[in-house]
Amino acid sequence: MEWRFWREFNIYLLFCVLALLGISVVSVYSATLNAITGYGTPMNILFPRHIVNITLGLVCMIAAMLIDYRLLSSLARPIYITTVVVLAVVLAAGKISEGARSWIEIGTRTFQPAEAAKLLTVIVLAAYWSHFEDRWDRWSVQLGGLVLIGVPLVLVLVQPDLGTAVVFGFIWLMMAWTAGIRWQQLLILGILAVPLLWVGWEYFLDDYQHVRLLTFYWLMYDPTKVDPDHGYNIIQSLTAIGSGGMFGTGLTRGLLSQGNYIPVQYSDFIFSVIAEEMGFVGGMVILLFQGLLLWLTLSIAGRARDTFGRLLAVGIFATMLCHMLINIGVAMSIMPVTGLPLPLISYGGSFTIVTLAGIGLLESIAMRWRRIAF
Amino acid sequence: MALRLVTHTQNRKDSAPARAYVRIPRWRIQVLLVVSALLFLRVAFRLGELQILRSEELATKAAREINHEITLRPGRGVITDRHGNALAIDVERESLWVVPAYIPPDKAPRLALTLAPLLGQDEQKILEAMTNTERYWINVARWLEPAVAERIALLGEPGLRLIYEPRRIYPQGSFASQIIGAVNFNNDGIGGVESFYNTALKGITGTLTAEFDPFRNPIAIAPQQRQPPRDGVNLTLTIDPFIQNMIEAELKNAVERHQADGGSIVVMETATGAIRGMASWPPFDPNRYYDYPPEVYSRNPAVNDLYEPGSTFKIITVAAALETGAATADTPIYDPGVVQRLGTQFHNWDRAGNGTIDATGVLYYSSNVGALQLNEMTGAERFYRIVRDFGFGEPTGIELGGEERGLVHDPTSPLYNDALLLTNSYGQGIAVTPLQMVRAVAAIANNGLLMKPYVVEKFCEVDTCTYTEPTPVRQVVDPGVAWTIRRMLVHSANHYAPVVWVHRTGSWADQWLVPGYQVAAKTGTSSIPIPGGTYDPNFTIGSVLGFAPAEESRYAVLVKIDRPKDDIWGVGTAIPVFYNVMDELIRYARIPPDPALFSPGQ
Repeated sequence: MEWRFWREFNIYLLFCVLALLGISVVSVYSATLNAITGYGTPMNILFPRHIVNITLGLVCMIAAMLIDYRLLSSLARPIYITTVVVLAVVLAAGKISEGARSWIEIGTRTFQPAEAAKLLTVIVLAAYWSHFEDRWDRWSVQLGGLVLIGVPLVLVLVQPDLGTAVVFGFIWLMMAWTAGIRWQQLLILGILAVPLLWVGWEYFLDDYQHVRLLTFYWLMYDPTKVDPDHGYNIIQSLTAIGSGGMFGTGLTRGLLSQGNYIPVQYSDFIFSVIAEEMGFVGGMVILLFQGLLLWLTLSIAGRARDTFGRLLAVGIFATMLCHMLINIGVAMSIMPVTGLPLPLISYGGSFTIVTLAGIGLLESIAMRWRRIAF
Repeated sequence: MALRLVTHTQNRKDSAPARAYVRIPRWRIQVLLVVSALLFLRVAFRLGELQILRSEELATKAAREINHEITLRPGRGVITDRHGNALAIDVERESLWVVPAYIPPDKAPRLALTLAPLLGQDEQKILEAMTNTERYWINVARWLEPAVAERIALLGEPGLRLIYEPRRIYPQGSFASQIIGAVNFNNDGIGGVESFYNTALKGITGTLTAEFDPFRNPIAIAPQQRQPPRDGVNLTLTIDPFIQNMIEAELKNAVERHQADGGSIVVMETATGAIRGMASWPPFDPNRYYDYPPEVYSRNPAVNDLYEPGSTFKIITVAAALETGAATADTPIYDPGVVQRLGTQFHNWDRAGNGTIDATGVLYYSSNVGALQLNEMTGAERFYRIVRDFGFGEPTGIELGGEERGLVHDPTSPLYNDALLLTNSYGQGIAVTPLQMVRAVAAIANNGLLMKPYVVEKFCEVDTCTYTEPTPVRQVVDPGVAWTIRRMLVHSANHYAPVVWVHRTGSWADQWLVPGYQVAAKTGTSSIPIPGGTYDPNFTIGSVLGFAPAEESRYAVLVKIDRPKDDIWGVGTAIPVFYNVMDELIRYARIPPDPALFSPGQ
């Protein structure tokens, strides 16, 4: 790679990422310091693992920066086939944990292929739409895109991993929009989706997922109806966030965070820990950096030299946005409970690595935005 | 440098067509930016709403959830006998609580099925507790056996919590149970010393104010406020383990051999009033008192039951006559066996006359007619004064719950009539407790000085101990009178020797109830009042009251056997028991035999 590319290196993006990772290190430390699982297992092994995950992720990020993203466009077919095959293998022979068959064991560590599938599917969709960019508003192209996203979506849905399925849907929506889907097409697809969603609710969602969605609905409109068993997580999270106040209790000083009141507080509910211990100020800092990250991503998308790069950046943007909104929204009860990690903050091996690889790709796009390279 | 500039410019020119090459419109990306900015604003508003507007409300809610004050139970005081053997101690046992929120509904039935045989409880009941969402905590079983608790802990269920809780244990089972009493599920004493000293034994409850996690462990990082509990007072009883054990065994033997309904044996140290043994039948096991009827576990018959003392009360009659000077030991009394007074007949137990006798004879022959005449000489006012001085009609003040005061109808009582003075002389128409009788006769042994009985010898609070001092109540009779009555009672005791030894020399007076020792004793056959104002025609209470040795006495003893089925007079049942108890006590106290009593005849 030539030196001149580095002149276009987006230093702000890297700064944002490093700031978020810094916050991540302290929050995961605090969230796992006194945490105990329901069975009395201490969680402090998670912190050193998190450091390892971040290190691996940074390596992946640098690797992704160095390669020319356009290379991926030509590899779209093998990437897609591999993704689908791996997701199918997980379903057939994966490790079951927390009720979902989502993990593959590699040595002593486990890996969640669905996390990688998000980025890989983004690459595939970007390649697909950029290939058909002259005919982007045709029904056949739109239906092709739907099929491409539909296969991995169904595969994760039956794991069952509702969260990832939602992310896939969101990715498709944002990328299809950017690729130029028409209003009428969106409307028709939306109308067609209603019976599909009904079938999904009736036949594919488990009772516990029904309860989660209803809990969300009840919490918003009729809090007295919330079954204490199912609403417990959300209520604990809300109390934790609320008792943080303006400046928070201070790191490792949050009573609810340190007292095991918040479930999965190192990942799905990490925002509750941050909000309790670092207060409104801490929460806003996170939102600020996350927002800045998204804005930079979109500006990279806007300046990308080709359609593939633009769609790729929008896809990565969609993934991160969806995770951020759902994670923070769930913690604050403006979204139904769906377990999704907060990008660059939560503990979680596969997702941290994949997110940092995506950041690497963004830098790769940013550095190559000029058409002619001498 | 120039080259670089040129390249740069060229790049700028080329960048315009580069953007044009991308067909998809940029405004779509700007829409994305606006949409995501709006969503972020929504999130930020929500954050502000929760952390600024509703912060106080939510923080209060959090505090309510995590701040708890829990009571720290002090250890209940240990009760020991006078030699330090533990009679009542606290042990830590685990109690099982369920937290329904932590038990998945689909898992509950299987869990209940697993627990049912371990706890010995109905599976349905356990399941009900597990699915009760109204409460955070539900107690399922208290004080599990350690082996059971361990097996439950091995299940590793987060919804099952084992919590240590002190449990009262009586290591010696039913031993001295009526004196000790028991403790109910609220840690309150029921009966005995446990009830009388409940407050002192309980100690002072402490509190722990702290922040707790959902598993009820104090949160490590939070400050705690601890008001430590103060453990209860440790009590050392006056009960002598040997004596208590011996009288319990004797009582059990007698009751079982004669199919008696019950009975009591009380052993009191004459000089101090300390109770060295107090046994009653039926006993109970305070570890599981709830398996017994309440009248068994909540009463100590020796202080809670009234009976008519019968002939043993003649000791008081004689003491009253001698003390008031109404008669002397030599005053002759004619006993025709049956006399007519107040329009009715009064007679001896067998209606047989004893001729002219004296006060000694009244006791020796247990003459009702003689006793009645002594009371006529003493008169009601003086008789009842002495009766009261002996402590009848008053609680003795012993530290056992619910003590009875007795029924003495003296002339000030609306129920008094002249016949009562006559019947009271031989112990009818008056109700007393066994302890009152023992204390009265102990006063005779103690040269007329009445002592307050007590069962607690030592109180220890942490390491400060106080001892109970023997408390004299009053001088009831003159020491000389007491000595005279002792001589009479020794004579009386020997009357019963044949019951134990059968006739050996042909002369009753040659025999001693306990060979080598002067033992004072008087028997009594108490009629049992039944509803309708008459006495039970079939059964009686046989009792023997006495002390040993006669001079420098150590122990006063009452043996009382209720309704023996094979002995209409009751006395034949009580005397052998009294002999056995006295014999054992004398050996145990290592009292040297009286040298004057060693003769070839013995």
